Amino acid sequence: MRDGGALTMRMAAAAMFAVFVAVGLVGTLNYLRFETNLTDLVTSRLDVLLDDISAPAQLAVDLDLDLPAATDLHAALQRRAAADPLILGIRIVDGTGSVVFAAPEPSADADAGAPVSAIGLDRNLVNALGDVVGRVELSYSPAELNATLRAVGLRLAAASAGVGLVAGVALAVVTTIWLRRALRPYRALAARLPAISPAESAGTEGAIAPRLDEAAAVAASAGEAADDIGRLALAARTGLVDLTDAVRQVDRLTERSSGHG
Amino acid sequence: MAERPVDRLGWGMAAVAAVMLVVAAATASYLAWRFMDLALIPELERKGETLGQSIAQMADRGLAAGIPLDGLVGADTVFERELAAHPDIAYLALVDGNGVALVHRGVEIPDGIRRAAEASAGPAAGTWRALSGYQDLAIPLATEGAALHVGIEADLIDEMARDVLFDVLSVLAVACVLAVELILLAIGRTSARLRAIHALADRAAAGDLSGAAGVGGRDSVGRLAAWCDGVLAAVGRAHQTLVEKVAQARERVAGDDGMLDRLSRLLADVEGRYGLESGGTGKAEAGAGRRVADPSSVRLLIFIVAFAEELSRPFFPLYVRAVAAPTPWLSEDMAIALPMMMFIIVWAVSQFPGAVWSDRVGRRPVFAAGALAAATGFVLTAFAGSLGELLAYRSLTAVGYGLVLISCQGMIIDGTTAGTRATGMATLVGGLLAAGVCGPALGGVIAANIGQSSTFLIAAALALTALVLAMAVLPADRRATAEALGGRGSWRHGLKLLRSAPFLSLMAFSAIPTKLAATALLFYLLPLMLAGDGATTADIGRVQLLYFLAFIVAAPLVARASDRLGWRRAFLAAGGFGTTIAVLPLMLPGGVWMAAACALLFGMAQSLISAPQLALVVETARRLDLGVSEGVVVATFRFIERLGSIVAPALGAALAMTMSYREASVGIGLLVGAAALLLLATFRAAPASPSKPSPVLEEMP
Repeated sequence: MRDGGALTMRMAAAAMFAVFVAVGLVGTLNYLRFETNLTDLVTSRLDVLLDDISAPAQLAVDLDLDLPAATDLHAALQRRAAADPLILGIRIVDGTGSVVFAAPEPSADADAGAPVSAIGLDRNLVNALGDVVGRVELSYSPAELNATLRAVGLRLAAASAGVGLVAGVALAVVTTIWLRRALRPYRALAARLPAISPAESAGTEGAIAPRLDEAAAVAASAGEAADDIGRLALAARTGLVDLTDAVRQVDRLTERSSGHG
Repeated sequence: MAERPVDRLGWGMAAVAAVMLVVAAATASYLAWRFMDLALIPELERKGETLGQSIAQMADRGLAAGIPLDGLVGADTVFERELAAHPDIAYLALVDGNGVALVHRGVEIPDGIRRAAEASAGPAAGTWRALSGYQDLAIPLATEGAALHVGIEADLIDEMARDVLFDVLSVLAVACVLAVELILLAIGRTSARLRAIHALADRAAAGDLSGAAGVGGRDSVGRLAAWCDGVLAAVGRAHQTLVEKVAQARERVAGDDGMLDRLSRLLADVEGRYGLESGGTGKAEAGAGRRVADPSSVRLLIFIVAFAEELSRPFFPLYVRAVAAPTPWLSEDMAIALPMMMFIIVWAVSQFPGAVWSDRVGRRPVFAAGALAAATGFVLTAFAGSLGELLAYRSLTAVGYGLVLISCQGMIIDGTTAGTRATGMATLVGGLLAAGVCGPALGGVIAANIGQSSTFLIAAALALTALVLAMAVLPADRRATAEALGGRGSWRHGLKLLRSAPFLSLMAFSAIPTKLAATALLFYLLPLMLAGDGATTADIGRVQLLYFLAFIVAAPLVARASDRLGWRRAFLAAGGFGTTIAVLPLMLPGGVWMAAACALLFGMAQSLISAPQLALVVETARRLDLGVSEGVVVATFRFIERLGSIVAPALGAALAMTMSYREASVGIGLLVGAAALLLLATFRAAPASPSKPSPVLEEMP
């Protein structure tokens, strides 16, 4: 992998991951809110529908009619059920829970009550004394709602993925370019300063001094990124000179001492 | 240390990523709402039509019975009832053939209603049309030209979109912090290597030519580090030559004390000038052979686990209330407080054995065990069915969180020297702060959308993610540093501090009340008060977010001002009085907005206290000259101030039993103000020798 490639990969991956997380979270949030809003709207519409359906039954109760005697209710239920194919069933039950009217007519082997997946709503029928004397139940197919949610969910997922991909790739490209620019001085510096060999490290001050002078010169012309190298080279140069001087002083002292001896 | 180009690059990239995130999220939101328009508008129109048809049938029955259009008694009552039940319907109007509204309720009907009325007799009747800001549906009635008009605001869908705006902003704040964390993690190693070169150059420029960068890598940065090490190796070699020469010379001049002394002085002079030691080991060599965790990785790991824990902040009291069945022997408020107290106690206590265990078996296993315990605790909490279960499961989470925290601190200690520990710890604290900002805000949104139990499951998933990441990025070194091992017994020294009146005054009238107020107000009383006002968990999370944001913005400024001015005690008192002022908005009408103002002011007040308090603690201990190290002083201080956190929920509950949550909050504010007065009265300031507190040790409540 080229110089700085691993860092570039890491940065680009981090940037893309962050973008995907952000877009994914925002997409999920929007979808959840949409799901709530749409479900509330559908339920609210069905509430209106149920009010409408239960009004004649409530009128019958208000007039103190026996529910089974109000046979025109049955015809009204059948008309309602036929008008909307998504209505799975409408039932009027009496106070004991027995079905008085149902539309469409339940088949002999059909289970009582709404299918598990259906949207179910009910409205109590209350007499003048406030007693619950029956109930109107509406069972509505969620197929249309689910289809809409699924369709919007898929479009949303596709849009989020698209936006995430474009933004992620754009960010990765910016990252790569920016990083390469930032690391360029270090690459240039490293190219102009060949590695110090063990021989140079182990040699005399004279052996490494040209390398330090070269580094100081390179650093002076290479700007901020090379500042550290320049300072280090300068300090090491001074240190090496002092150490070499010290060695010479030790030699001189030893010679002088031997001479005196 | 000066900021290096790659450091700037990291922050620059984080800024670019944040901008990109905002643009991407805004685009995704815009597209989302355009798609949703297509589904919501027809459904809204269907609802309006269903309602209109229902009312129109009623009117038609009246008309069929021979009642004139303007004699339909009760139409206004029906309209009012239906508009109250369906706030998404803007108006209902009964309009005659001349376009005159005979009965109308809701917003002012649009000017174009006459034209619409005229059109209602035509072929377009029964379809929705745009009328000056409204979608209008005219349903023809049984009398010629008359119609029932149903109106919906044209931008109702946009209003629904605006409802989600705050949630999207919360998510974006979290995503931006996440982006910063990830980018800092990605650039962490390169940045650390450049810092090592920079530190080497700094030391060299200051006359210290010992040591080595000691960083690897075959890229340009690694090659430059190797070059630096080569240069210093040459210096080391020259030093070695000098040492050997001096040794040889000493043998030759044995017995000549004057000469021996001159040789010794010569060597010592050069070594002193360049930080060289005869026979010493270099700093890089000292640390060689031990693999330590990268601070950036540690920061990400602690961020994830703390974030998981912070997710439940906005709704935890509400969750306890829902789970804990009423008991005759325990009030509801106290029942809510118990799991919070239990968590803090277990968390604090688990740190001691956790530290010993971590030193013995290594950081990674302890982190893994902690993350696993926390994840298990979160899952069990999600399914808790009673107060007893909740106490047990939150205790398990607290043990896990404590182990994670102590192992992360250990990793930082292992990977830093005394000189770099402040920076290392600041990295860790940065992760905790970021989690404090993001967790409540996102947790509130998540809980509002998918439920509180599910939010705990997400927290568990995050803790497990941290566990997997830890196994991937943390070294499996079993050895702790000598420094970490040596720190175990030092707690006994902390007891000396407890015999000091100034230290106790500082603890009793500043440290404990501050922590008490933070926990009681922010995490107990405010959530319960806001929930009582009808706020959602998302609203509560955003209010808590304001506290953290105010704190993060103001704390560094206060720290600098406190260092420059040296007014520690004054800052502490100002923070105490500020807390009293912060709770006053709660007495005003305004619900969530006043709570938001309180959180904002409270965050600022706490920021006035945080850094100056730590500095004053250290300075006071130094003045007392008890021979206790700074680390022990701070550890003792942190332990004692946590008593405030432990007491806070119980005090909040006790107050709430006799007064409203609002009044209890004000009571806590007054208590902190009174404590500030007592501090001013009893605490004598340390001599003015401002010392910068380690950013390290600063901690959020």
